[in-house]
Amino acid sequence: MNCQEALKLFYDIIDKEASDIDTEEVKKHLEGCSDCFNKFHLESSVHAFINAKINESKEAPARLDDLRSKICSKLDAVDGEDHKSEDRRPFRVIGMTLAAAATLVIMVAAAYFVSDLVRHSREYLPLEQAHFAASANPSAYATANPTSALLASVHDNLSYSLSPSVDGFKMVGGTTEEIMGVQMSHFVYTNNGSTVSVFVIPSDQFDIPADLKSHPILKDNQVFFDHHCHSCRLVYHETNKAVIVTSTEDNSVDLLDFIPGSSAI
Amino acid sequence: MAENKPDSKAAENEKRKAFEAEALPHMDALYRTALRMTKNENDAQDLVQEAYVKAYRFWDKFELGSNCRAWLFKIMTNIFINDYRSKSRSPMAVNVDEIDDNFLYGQLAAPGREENPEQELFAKIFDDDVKKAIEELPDDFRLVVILSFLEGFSYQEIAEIADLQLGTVKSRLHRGRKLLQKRLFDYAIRNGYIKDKAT
Repeated sequence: MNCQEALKLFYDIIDKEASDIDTEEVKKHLEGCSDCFNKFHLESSVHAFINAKINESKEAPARLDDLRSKICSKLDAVDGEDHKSEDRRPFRVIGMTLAAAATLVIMVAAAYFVSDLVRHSREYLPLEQAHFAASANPSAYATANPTSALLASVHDNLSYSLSPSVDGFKMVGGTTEEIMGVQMSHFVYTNNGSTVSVFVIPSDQFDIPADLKSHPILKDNQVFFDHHCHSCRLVYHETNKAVIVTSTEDNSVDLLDFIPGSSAI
Repeated sequence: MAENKPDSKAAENEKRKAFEAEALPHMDALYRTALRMTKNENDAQDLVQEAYVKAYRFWDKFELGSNCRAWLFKIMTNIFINDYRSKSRSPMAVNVDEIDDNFLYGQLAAPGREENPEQELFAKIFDDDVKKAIEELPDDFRLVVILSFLEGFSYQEIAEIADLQLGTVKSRLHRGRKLLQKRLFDYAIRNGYIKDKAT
């Protein structure tokens, strides 16, 4: 290490920033170079002197206490600001409550919607689909003398006499179908555009969905249950022997008219 | 919902307690540095208060266990550089590079001097002279000199506090020292130090 290199490291050593190796190298150089040794000695002495003088002067404790209390009251003010913003928080709380309530409503609605869909697919959709099949091709249901003959053949103990024509609709015919695991009669009416299905189901094999029963419709001293599905409407009626379900996608049709009265038994 | 308020109040008390325990003990150090930065008691008090308010607001940004003292100095230095520096522009316009690195050595190393020639020099330098010499340093130099001499921060810490390159810290510290030496020598002469006693 030459003088130039040693000189460059003087302050690093004084400030305790030099590596151990550098410090050792400089020390070695200083041992053999009195000029550098004196320079280094002077630099570190001046450093120590200034350092001592700078650190000598102590601030008056009273002044520091004063400063501390000033700082504390400033911090109090900051805390106070936080409180002010906290005072505005009721709105935030209300907002959050509303948001939570809205979320809850949405979740309940979603759950209801989902359960409704499930029930729909289980309890209504099979009848709906059967109706849509008839609606798409009514002539497939055509029979020569649909009413009494068909009923007699499917349900020996049922003898409903269905009107051959209702509200301008004419009966196309009917057939027996197994829907939801139940043998039932499916009659089809058309009026050159709309289709109405009438299902006759033995009451000992089929229950009207419970959720419909809370909304009964009373007409002519008879009870009907109306159900608006996603794309069509179903009306249920129960007699002592049969459940009769009528269905159409035409909202203008009065489905109740298609249900044979108990007198027709 | 009603429990929220006491909770936040308790959290706030907790925050205040933690802040006072961690940050307030550094007040003395911050103040003595602020005094030398601003060269004015009122400004120094304001600067320290501002630094504490800012630190308190940003307390959640401080990582517990890290160097709180350096963090506080960084906040204070920032405020100083942005808001105070222009107020206290140094009147001393010196071309630092004109000062010979070996100026003091050249002055003291005259032949015939005793073993520790600097002691005679130091004897003629009064406390106020040192204070004044530091205050007369240009702001940029004074800042690193104070952080190093007064607070004992490492080069790296100073670089982070003052947002400088490590090399800039070292060169400013070096030139700050040379300026101080020159000033102190001038004061010693004025105070009766005899330059060429040996002759």
